[in-house]
Amino acid sequence: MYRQAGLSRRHFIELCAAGAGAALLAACAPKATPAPKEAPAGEAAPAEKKAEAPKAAEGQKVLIFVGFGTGTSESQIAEETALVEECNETLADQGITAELMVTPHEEHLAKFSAMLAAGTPPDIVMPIGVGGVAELYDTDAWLDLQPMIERDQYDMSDFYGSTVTLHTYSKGTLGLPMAVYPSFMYYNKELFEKASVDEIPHAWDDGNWTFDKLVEVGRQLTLDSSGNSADQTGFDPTDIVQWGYDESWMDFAGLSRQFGATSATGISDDYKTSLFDDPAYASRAQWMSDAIWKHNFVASAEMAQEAFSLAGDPFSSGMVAMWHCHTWMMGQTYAELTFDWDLGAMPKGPTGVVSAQVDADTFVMAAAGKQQDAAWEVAKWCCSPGILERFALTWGSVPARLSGKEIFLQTLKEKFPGVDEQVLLTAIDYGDVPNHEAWKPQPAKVGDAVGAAMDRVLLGKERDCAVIMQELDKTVQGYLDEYWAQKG
Amino acid sequence: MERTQRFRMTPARREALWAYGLISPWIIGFLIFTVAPMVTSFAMAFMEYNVIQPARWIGGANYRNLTIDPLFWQSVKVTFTFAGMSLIPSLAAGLVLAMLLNAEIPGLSVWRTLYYLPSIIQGVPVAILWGFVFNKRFGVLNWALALFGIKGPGWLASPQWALPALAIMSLWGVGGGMILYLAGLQGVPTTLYDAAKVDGANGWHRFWKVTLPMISPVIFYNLVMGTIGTFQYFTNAYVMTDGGPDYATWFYNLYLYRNAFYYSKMGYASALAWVLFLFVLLLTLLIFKSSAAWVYYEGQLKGGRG
Repeated sequence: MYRQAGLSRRHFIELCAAGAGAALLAACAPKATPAPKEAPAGEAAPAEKKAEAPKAAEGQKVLIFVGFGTGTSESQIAEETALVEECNETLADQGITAELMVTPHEEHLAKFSAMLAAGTPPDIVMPIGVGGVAELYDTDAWLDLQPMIERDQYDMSDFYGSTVTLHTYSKGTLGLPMAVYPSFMYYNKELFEKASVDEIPHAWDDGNWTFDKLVEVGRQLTLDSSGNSADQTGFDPTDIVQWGYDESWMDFAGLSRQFGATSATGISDDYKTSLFDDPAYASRAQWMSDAIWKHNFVASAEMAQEAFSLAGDPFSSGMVAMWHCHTWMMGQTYAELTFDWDLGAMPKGPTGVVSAQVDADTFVMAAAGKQQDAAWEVAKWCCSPGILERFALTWGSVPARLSGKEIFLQTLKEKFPGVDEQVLLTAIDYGDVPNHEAWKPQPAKVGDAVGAAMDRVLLGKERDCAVIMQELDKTVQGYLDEYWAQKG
Repeated sequence: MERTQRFRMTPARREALWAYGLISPWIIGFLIFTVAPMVTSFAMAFMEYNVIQPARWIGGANYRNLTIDPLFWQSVKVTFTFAGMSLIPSLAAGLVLAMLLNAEIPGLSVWRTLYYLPSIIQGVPVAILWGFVFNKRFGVLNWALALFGIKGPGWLASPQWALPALAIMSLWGVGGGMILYLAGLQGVPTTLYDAAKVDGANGWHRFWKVTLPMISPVIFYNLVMGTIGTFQYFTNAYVMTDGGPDYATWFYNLYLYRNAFYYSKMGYASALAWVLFLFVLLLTLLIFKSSAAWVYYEGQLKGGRG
């Protein structure tokens, strides 16, 4: 009998089918989940009392996604991991285990969206700022926490009031306040002393501290390589080695509130109209343009790249006398600064407004999360007194709990002796609510357009800022119209 | 009557089936990870899709919007300008290097390795390194220019100089082309040079009439690959300038990436990807079409099929 030695058509098809099946099985196989850790005997009760809250099902793993904002540096991950381990010990009796998933910031949106689309969203995103929440606000990705807050009668009175407002939307309360990053003026005391200029006020209600005064002081503190200041004859604006002021890390729309802009986002309350044609925006941009090109006390984009890129930020370079920025830097590198510095108030704008934009971090929960009660327990633990402060300090922020103020001040005094912490705490009262990062249609595209407009100011390509703002207004209005047209 | 005849395969067919069976893992991978995404992106280009919410059919709106999108046209302008700035210099630099390294000089292997090495070191670290090279104050480029009394610009912070800076940086990868040229040069029969010498050809004539035609297939290959690579330019612009200043380095792929992963506009990004595919296809076809006039294949008769 003839026996076919080769591969028959049937065998070929079977072989292919087996290969395809194996590949599919490998791709679709569920990830093995380790058995839940048993609760250690005699474990302490969780920090928050759960009145009538339904108990989270046993053996649930709560995935915490880190990457929407800060929290991704090596030292921060180490501290966050230690805190999550503590959380797991505390919640072990409920069978809840939390796990961190750290994603580089550049990939956060793609990764989170893919997880959501695949039906496996992380349970918690933390820390996430107002801008991070805005990125996915109109996709209904975030869970309204209000029913849980009401069910558990969660006490919100210990949070700074403005921070609660920052996370409250028409769709509900999307997060509990965790961290606040007020902004203020850092100033280099040594440069002031060398120039024999009085240090800037620390009081936020000093009527003499205006933007005109800032120009005057800024020019006195700006030096060329021959030592001439910008207010002296013989000053060479092409050879500057020290600048009086910088605000290049701040959000332009938010800054415009200082000059009387009614919206910190540049968009109307109904999100349908661009407000960048409001003269307040042009006026604020013109102030910046003049500061660079007329008064010469702020570095242009080209000068900044040349002078500050090695230091990482303008103030650390030691070449900038005053820097408007948030608390971020105090959580990172400012303990290592080699010169004396302190904090001052922001000046009063031409319309009498004192404004210092604020950033705020929270946690949010995925609306499509499959274990929301367990995630809520973890989130509450993270926001509990004593714990929230540790997260906030890891992220370089002020804890959002009023009761955390003492711990924060104590840490601040140890880390930065001699720095006026009251400036920092009072800055919270001058924050922008509604916030410059608040949701608007197509937030990333609008943000890019505003950034490009500011590029033009910093590059000096157009010195008449009314022209820049008119063009920005037209571009942003186009984005808004496009958004609403798509919404039908 | 019982049917007893069995299907029998020829040895050739059997062999083919074995081959297909053995490469089926690759075919399956190709279908799942290449063909399926291509088909999906083609369909997605006619939809509005942000990954999170269900896709919505919008017909040709994404393609129509491209035509009125100033940032799209800016990205096309930047990419074509960059191609003009970088492609020919890169090809020429690779060829010059190959000719130098084809000469008999001491330590030839070391030189070849040194010049080839940069082409295999790519990505973010190189982009960061070049960021320092281009620094106005302490960058080595401005230092070198200063030796000739030239005050260098703030390369990456200047809208005029950012794109030329990236074009200069593209010379970093010429080693890859150089190796191919070198292989081509070593394949040129020495008898041709001898014959040219006998005919009284000088160095330039030998290069122009012998070397260049003989390595024209390699130039052609490098031109095609370089064109495709230029239109896929991304990492350096993303790391060093992020499209700025003032959209001066707003490359096509950067805009595509931004739409997909920053604006969450997957449909629009897919339309951009297909338009990019058409651009590259068109240019490649043009290069192929032109090759009849300038690429010489040994043994091929003009107008014939070789």
